[in-house]
Amino acid sequence: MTDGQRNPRRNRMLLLTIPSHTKHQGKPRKVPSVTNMPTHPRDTGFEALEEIHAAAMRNLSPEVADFLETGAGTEQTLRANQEAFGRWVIRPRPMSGVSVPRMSTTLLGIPLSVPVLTAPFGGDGLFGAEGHLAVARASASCGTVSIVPEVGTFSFEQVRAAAPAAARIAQVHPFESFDSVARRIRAAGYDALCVTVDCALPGFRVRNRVNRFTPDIGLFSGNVTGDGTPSVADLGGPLFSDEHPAWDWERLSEATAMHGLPWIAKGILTRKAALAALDAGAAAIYVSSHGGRQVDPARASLDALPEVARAVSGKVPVLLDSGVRSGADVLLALALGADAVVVGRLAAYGLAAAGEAGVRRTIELLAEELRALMILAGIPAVDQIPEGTVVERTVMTK
Amino acid sequence: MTLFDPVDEGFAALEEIRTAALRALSPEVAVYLESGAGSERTLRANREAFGRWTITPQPMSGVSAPRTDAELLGIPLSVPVLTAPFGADGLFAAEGQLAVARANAACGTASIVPEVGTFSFEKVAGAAPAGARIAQLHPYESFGYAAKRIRAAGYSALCVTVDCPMVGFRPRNKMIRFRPDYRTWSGNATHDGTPSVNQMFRDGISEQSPPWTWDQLAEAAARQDLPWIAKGILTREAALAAIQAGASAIYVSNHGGRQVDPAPASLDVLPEVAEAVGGRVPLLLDSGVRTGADVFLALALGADAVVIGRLAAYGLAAAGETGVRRTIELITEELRTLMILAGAPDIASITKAAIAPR
Repeated sequence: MTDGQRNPRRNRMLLLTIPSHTKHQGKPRKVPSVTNMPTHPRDTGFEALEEIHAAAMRNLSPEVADFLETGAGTEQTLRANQEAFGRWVIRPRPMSGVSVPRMSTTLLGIPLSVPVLTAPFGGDGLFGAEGHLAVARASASCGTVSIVPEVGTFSFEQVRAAAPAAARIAQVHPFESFDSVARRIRAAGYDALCVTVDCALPGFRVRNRVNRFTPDIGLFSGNVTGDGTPSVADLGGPLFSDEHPAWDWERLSEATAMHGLPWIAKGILTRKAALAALDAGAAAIYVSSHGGRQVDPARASLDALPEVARAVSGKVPVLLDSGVRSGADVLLALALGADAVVVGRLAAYGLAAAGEAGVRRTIELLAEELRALMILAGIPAVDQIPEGTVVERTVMTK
Repeated sequence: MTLFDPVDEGFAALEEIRTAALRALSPEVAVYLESGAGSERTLRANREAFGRWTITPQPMSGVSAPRTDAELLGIPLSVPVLTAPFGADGLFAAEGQLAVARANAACGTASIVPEVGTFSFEKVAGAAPAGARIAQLHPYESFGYAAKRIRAAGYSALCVTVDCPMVGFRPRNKMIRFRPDYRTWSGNATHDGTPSVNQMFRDGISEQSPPWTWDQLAEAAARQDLPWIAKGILTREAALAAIQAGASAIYVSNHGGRQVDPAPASLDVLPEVAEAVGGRVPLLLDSGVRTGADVFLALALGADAVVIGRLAAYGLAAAGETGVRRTIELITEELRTLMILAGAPDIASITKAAIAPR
């Protein structure tokens, strides 16, 4: 098997190394055929998320694997995100009579079969040629939702067209381009915006630097319009400059008020930021340390969740990402105040392992574990987790 | 007690028995035995919980011949150690729970005989009536039928597993694509049209066939005149519900880390459960016990008896009946040693005062 066969994205990268401003004018991007993809999730053969992760690592080149796995700085945040989940336990409730727990819920009016969304990771073509097209199709077949990235390989319109049932939320940066991008998002039929507030510039990511990894900008340019309107990907590197200063909450508030879409504030780790986002009009708060890729050391997402949930006090829904690696983690986050959980790396592993089928299997396995735990812990519904179900692991020392 | 270790069986330590077991088992069966649910946080926590305690030596205590005997629900035990009702026992050795019960009979201890084992309740009782004293069953529509058979077979008590309406989500086990042969866990499957728990595990639970509630169990158990143990209790709420439902003993267990992950460690919740039970019924504990010292610690923290699952399965896999017997002997020997060094003349004197947090 040649490298090209094993890693079709390499061929794709060659095609995309043309200057970004000339790239997509008028011509729809050619989408590779998916007729040879498995049609049933079981066909991928994955019995556990660990297998999907292992397959992803096998399929990815070392630098892309590092790009995916890395965090900022010395990766304290990255580790803390997962360790935080280890400090909680589920207190089982045997003989509860719960047989068919309800996993479905709604988020901003959007129905979800299970409260798991996929994160708006950019550069998605690095992980699988179909990128977020495959992610959105997988979400559609699972009854879940994709948050479609601004700096992805495909445009908002392309992802929406590929899976309108799942491409319901579009992520955008608070930047010069916001207004024109939000207009396009609305025209494409999305229900909500997700505004990333923690990424005025990419974090200081040492592993990427050491690898001298400079991914093809084309894989981040799906939303470069080429028609003269500003685009976040045009700048490369830092997302702001003297001419384009980073926005504050007030500016974001004004900009979002001009669009009729509810917006999610993504990247909240403190009570203060949550309240500022609510003040600015956010319709949902998304607790995230960006998978440990921005501030290092920052507090773990899960550690920030109770404080943020208290500050929000049910006024708007709360989402969480960073550190979620299992169905048990989903349950812990829900119990600690999240209304839905977002998977970034897990979705990227699925994509890299087996495209759409890999992402679908990932969501299925999360749902399967969540269901088992809900039955064993006597949880009737994802939004009815009885008080006292999840508590800190207490170490008996007296 | 002899001056030298009884080494005639070859195994001088539990570690050797485990090593022999893992050598004897196929990789699939070894993983099936060793794995836990989820990311195995519960499995690890069970062990770590024991590591936080010390036994306080009492030099010159004058204790030279401690008595290890105890009693549970009227069943005499030479040492307060029982074997857990692990199913699919034929995976570990052909004789399965027949061998386990014979080993218990030889040691003066008791087997909790599983419902989803390789051999029927009747066969195990037939093999070793002195060891097969307690029979385990699931709270399911088969309960009444199973309980009648258990009584007819001469068992003294029921052990109702309340934490397993479905098998936990066990990724390590899924990854080896291992499903035990139906014959290894269908020793009590019925062929006369009466409900069987094998059906529950095969079909899974559904709206049509929901898991039981405490009320259903209370009613069904009241129709039997055997005392019953509630197995799989990790919280004060569940302990109180079980007692309310009529349980004669509370069995603290997270199923060896095989059901809910992350769940509290069994040992960590023992004081909470003991406080709720308030001495009204005896307390059993499993999950994480690997040594005689662990037995000592569990007893000191409130358990009246300790149940071994994996340790018994290791013994079974290592050398059948002999291996299980040697396992119980080694646990007893370590426990006796510690009782002498810690100045505990009998099981009742192993209390909180004998231990301290590290």
